[in-house]
Amino acid sequence: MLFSYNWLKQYIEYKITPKELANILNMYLFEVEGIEEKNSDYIFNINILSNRADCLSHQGIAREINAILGFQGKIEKITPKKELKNEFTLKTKSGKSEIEIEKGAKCCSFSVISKVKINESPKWLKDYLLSLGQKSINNLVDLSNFVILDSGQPLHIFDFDKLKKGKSNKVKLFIREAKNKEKIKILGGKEYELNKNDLVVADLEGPVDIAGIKGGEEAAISQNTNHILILSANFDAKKIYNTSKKFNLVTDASIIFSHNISAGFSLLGLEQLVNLILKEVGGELEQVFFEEKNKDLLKYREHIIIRLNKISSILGKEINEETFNKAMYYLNIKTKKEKTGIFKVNPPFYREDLNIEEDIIEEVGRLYGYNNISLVTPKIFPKRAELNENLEWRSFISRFLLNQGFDEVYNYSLIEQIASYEIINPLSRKRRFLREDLIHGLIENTKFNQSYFDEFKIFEFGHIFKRESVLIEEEKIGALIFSKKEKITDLLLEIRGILDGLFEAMGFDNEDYVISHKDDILSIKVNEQEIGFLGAVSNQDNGLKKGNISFFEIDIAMLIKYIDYEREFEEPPKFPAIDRDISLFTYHGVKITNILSVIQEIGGKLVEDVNLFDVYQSPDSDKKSLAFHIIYRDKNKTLTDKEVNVLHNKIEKELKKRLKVEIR
Amino acid sequence: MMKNIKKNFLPKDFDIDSVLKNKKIKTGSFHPLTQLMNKTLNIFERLNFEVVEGPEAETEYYNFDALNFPVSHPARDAQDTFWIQSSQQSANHELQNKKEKLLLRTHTSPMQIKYMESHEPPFNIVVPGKCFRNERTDASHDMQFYQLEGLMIDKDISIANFKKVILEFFNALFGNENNDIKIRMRPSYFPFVEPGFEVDISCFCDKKNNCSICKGENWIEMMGAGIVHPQVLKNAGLVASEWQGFAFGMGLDRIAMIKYKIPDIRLLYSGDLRVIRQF
Repeated sequence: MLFSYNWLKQYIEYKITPKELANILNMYLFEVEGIEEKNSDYIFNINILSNRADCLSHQGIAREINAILGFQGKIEKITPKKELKNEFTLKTKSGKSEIEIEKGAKCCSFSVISKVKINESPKWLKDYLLSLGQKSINNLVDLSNFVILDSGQPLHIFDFDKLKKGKSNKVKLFIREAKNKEKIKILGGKEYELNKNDLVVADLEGPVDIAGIKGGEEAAISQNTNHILILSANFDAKKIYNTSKKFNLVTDASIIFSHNISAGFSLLGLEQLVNLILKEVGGELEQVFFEEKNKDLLKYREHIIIRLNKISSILGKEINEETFNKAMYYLNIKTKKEKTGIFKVNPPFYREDLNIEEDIIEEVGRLYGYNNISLVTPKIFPKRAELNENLEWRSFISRFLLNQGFDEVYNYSLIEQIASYEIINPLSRKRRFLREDLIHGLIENTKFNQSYFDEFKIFEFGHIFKRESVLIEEEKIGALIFSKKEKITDLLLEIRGILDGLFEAMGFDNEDYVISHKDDILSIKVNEQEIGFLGAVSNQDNGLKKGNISFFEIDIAMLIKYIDYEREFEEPPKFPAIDRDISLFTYHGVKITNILSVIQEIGGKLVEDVNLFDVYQSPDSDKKSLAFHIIYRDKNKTLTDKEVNVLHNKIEKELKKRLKVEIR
Repeated sequence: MMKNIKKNFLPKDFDIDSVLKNKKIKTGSFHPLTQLMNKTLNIFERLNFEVVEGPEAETEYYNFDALNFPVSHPARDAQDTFWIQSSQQSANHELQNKKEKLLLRTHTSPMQIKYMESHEPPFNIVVPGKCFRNERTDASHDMQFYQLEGLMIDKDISIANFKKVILEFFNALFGNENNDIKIRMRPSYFPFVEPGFEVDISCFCDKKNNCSICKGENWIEMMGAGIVHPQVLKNAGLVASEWQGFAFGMGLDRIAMIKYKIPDIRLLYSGDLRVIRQF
């Protein structure tokens, strides 16, 4: 929000340069986002915090500046200008008009003035508005805008003669919910269709104002106006906010009401505007209406109990009674000592953000200055922080992959392809669904990078989202190899090799997991639980220009669940091993896993290891050539060639018999 | 010794020039955010913080209500939060319990509540994680980003303690013998802390006026922080009068951009290996 330095200066009895002012605002109140020199004034762009509706005005900021300067001893005693005193002195004056709040306002008051003389604004008024970027219209409109910026209370001026008169020539206004499909044309000519969620000010005929946002054209003041009604109310913040957002109609008034400004300001604002009009525009005060009980809105708020030792405990700095009292005094918070170190404090009406002890502690800490608090090392905790196992393993896995030449990528969790969960309010069509796997993202990365590299390996850690009876979120590791040269089978073998290496490094034995077919993708199982998948994509699919892809994706939680990293010493083999190879042809899609299980079954304990070292698939038949390398060893004695030959022959025979393979 | 090796072991026709044509083993690169995250978590682990993580899809309750966001807080709006369509909702929107509305977390703070619900203080935790904001993207804003949340609760953890811990952290992350990091704190407002403040650190630029990071201000905005609001402690099931401590949250993307001089946040999520391989 924009503030004029010259305007603020009117309320500050201390010479302060714009730079000094920016500095104290930054350190003790709000962030100053910028200062612009303009028309021999300095315009401050101040970021008002959302809980401080009382500061959405020059008076509000001036109150704070005085409090800070006062606390720092730069102002001896506050003798606030009349405007800062928060006194309401208007007297009721009866008249013919009346108003009824049906809904959506905490309070309202109004005043009717006749014989106003609309004219050009005086120079001081024009200058203030101009430096804040507001065009001068006429003295009446300008004063109304001035009061918003000065006191923070939005008001609306109607042309009294344009309001519908009822019986005995009486005007009656209502603050109410709009009727469905009720229409209003606002100042500037744009028409809006309203419904019951919108608040309006209406006369006997219909809406004359979108409450708290913008006035209607029908009863708007013009150059010929000489009879006016000034309305000051406090509207429901949520409603104003919603309507303003729905119509994308943001005005100074709508911003202030949306922030839930204190209702007391509606009285002060009315008095200020009425007095300014009578002084600068002239006219005769015909009617003043407010409810007497609403004067209570200006009273100090409910008390809060505050303990000096709690202030010191939270700040970590001893705060004495004198410092506390000084802060309260300059913030216009009334204090009453209950007993030693305990006080009852009453904030002024406009500080609706102060409700609990901690709120008051913040005020003390803020004025004292957080930067004046010295550093204190916390006491040593009785507990040692646990290491996060998940994190440790993730780091282990990523280091493993990094050493295999994988680069790490981060992708978006929101994707274009249809998935189980959709975003209700997406930012774009391309980011509409929650990703269900990591591989699609890695394939997209490949499409991008294939223009720059002939081969690469990439991985990503990330969360995915699945629909079961409820939303399930899981953490995965996805890895992908791309090459323009390698055949798809070689890439598949390579990714499988990396996975085997990773599993071994994590303490899985080969026996601990199986890879089985499932559609076109191999599923990876540990203890019969599926923990991930492995697969390949060829150059025909998926927009790859040239080259092939292989990949795996594994669930991190499942992986960690089955890790057995505890190792135990095992005697190194004392007796030598003997190797034999088996080369064979298979037909009718005999599975390698079946061959392996026959070898293991017949060989029993004497088979130490089996490796498949050659695969050739005939392109025009289901004939496949396979070659296995078997390592035989007996833990307790040296095997003889003869013993191995007998066993090896038996394995070959059983393979022929059971799986109809042809031994080469 | 070297002489001996040369004489005795290298073949006579060995061309020493040929080792210039080496066989480099290619290792991959960690994503810059991972590098920063690892460094950051490492520092906090040394300060005896425990690292905990949470889901990216949250309920409105944990992301807003439990953290003391007023019901009408603008942050809940469509313009800031991605709301997730769930089948129950579309089938029977009116009857859906409002608290169970699903969203993509807008900060890592929901884990404050979840951790406090299941642990007795004292504790020190940090929570790294991906967060989402429904806002127009530009060079310094993206729809997703990483945040690091911190929480330290005991009987009387104070602002003075916060300053000590956080200065230790920033010095470990950015400091060196020539550069002693300074911090400053400014008042701010977050519904889940009271008092609340923002923390700036001194820039590394030596007050050069054309510094692209601090724009000559000499300070860089780093995090939001404060003393945990008693209502938040209460919402998490703790007796608010017995416990006291601080919470903080910072955006890791911005720090990575500063630390590695990355000009556009979107490069972090582009998957462009020409970028990743620089790190």
